[in-house]
Amino acid sequence: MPFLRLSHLSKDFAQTAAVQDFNLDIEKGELVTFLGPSGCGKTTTLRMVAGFELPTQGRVELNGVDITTQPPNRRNVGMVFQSYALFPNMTVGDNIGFGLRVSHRPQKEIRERIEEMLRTIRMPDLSKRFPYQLSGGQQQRVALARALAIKPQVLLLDEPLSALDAKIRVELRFEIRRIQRELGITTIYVTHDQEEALSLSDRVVVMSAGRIEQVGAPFEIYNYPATPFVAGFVGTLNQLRCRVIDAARGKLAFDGQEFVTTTPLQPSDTSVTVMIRPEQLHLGTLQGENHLTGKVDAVAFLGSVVRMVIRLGESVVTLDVLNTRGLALPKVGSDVPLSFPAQSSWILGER
Amino acid sequence: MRRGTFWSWLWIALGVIYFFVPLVGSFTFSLHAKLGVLSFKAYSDVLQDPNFRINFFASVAWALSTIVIGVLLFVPTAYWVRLKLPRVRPLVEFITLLPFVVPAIVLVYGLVRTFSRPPLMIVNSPFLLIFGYTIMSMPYMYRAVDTGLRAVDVPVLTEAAQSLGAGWVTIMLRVVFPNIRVAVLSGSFLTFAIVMGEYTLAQWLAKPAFGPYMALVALTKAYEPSACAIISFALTWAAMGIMQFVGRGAPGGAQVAGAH
Repeated sequence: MPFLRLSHLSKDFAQTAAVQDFNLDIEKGELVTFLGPSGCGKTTTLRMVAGFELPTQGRVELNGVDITTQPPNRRNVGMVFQSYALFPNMTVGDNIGFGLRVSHRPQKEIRERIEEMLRTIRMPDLSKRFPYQLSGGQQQRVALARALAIKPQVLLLDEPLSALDAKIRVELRFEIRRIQRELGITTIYVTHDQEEALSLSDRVVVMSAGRIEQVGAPFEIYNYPATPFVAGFVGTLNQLRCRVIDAARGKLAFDGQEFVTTTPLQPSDTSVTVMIRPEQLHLGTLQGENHLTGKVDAVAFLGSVVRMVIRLGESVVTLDVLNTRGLALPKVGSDVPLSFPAQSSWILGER
Repeated sequence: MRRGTFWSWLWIALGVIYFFVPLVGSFTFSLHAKLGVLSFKAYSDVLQDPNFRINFFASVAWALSTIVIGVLLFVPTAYWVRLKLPRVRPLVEFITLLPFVVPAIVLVYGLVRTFSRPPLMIVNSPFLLIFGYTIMSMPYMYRAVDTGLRAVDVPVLTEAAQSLGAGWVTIMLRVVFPNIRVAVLSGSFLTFAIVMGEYTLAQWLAKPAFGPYMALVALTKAYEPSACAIISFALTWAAMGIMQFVGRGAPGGAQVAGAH
């Protein structure tokens, strides 16, 4: 029996189905991310776990108990919101201690727990501050401490970093993961940011239009997308519409240029879409690899990575090169050779 | 002085004259109770009149009761409408504005007609007057509270409190009330000011109150009505002053007289 089981969860708002037949088992101590574009049902699913939405169908079972219809204040589920949702009339300490005061714990225990949580979020001296005296990042740390202070069975985070600026976001992401690991708390994390999902999670649930598209470890999701949606949503992907020339030898043609793949192919003379990640392509002609020639359309310097758009006839491909100080960037409009290994391309649905 | 500034000051000056001249006039007139000298005789006469005290403190009692009932009624209502029934907000707002449209005399006539017969014969009970005042103060109290609620993210704070184990009573007392304290105070003082000067309801329901007392004094005395008017003005201004003072530096910002 898994620690948290969501079975056949559905939620309709008026006539539209926000979530449809959602099934997921989460083990104790696991961090699972719901990833998807806005409106895909990820937040609605989270809110059904929190008890803020009643499922139209299906069950939520926590530790073997059916909590589908239990009110949110009886579930012992901690929640962190995008807008922090700290109580503006209370100090940091009072915010963190709120849940314990509500359940009438002894004063001494409350005090100790507040101090412990302040140490956990590395803000030991800010107990007397009011939320409006804190930065966004600090407020969200306090919100996290407040949710954890009640020792919840499950921690739910609803786009907790979306309102913060880029640097704090990355910092706090690792902070959340550290605390989550330390406490071994079962966590569901909702985000539309794929980088966040991939870097943070034990497993990622990719959602679209109220349905699960794929569940898997970040490595799996990125390298073996199960559906066209996942392939398109997670990371950047070149999708090359190719003609099969010789299925037995894995020979394909794209824009009149031939190359080979190790992926099994359909019979010759049919069309297939071949996928290849930008980081698998490189400039130059490497021995033993496929070679293509294209024209540079654009060069974007992103810091650690240089992203180039190369035109091959009617279509374009994206190519990523790791930055080095000696790197010679090709000029826009110049012809460049590309190469990639035969085993780096794949066709969707194949493993 | 720039031309624009000159005109701004002129309009302000005209406004101040329009507002203050009658007030200053009343005040100086009220000081002339003793022939030939300026004195506070009118004020001491008013304050020593036992009827003044009875009526004045009756009105204070009505006002405080109205505030208590208003707060208990309108804070949860406004909260619930914001949280769960945002669709009915236009309707509720329309209802809260009705007292501006229905004159007090119509209201009191309706109250007397309805409650002077079974099943609810409460026309002689002070509660009818207090409930009437609650209705009259509704636009001010409800709108002040609603404005206060707008300044805090009520739905999210409610959910945060719920996820921490809080029930509705705890949420109301520890989360909602403290965050709209200034708005509630502002609605309360407006209610206080309205009830203290109200005439029609108290007169027709035959209850002691400051409004009818002032009207009676105005019919029978010369200087005392002016003194009464100044006292009631001072009272209102004191209420406004307290409101400003309490609102200073409150988290979430002060909004005095959030009614309009």
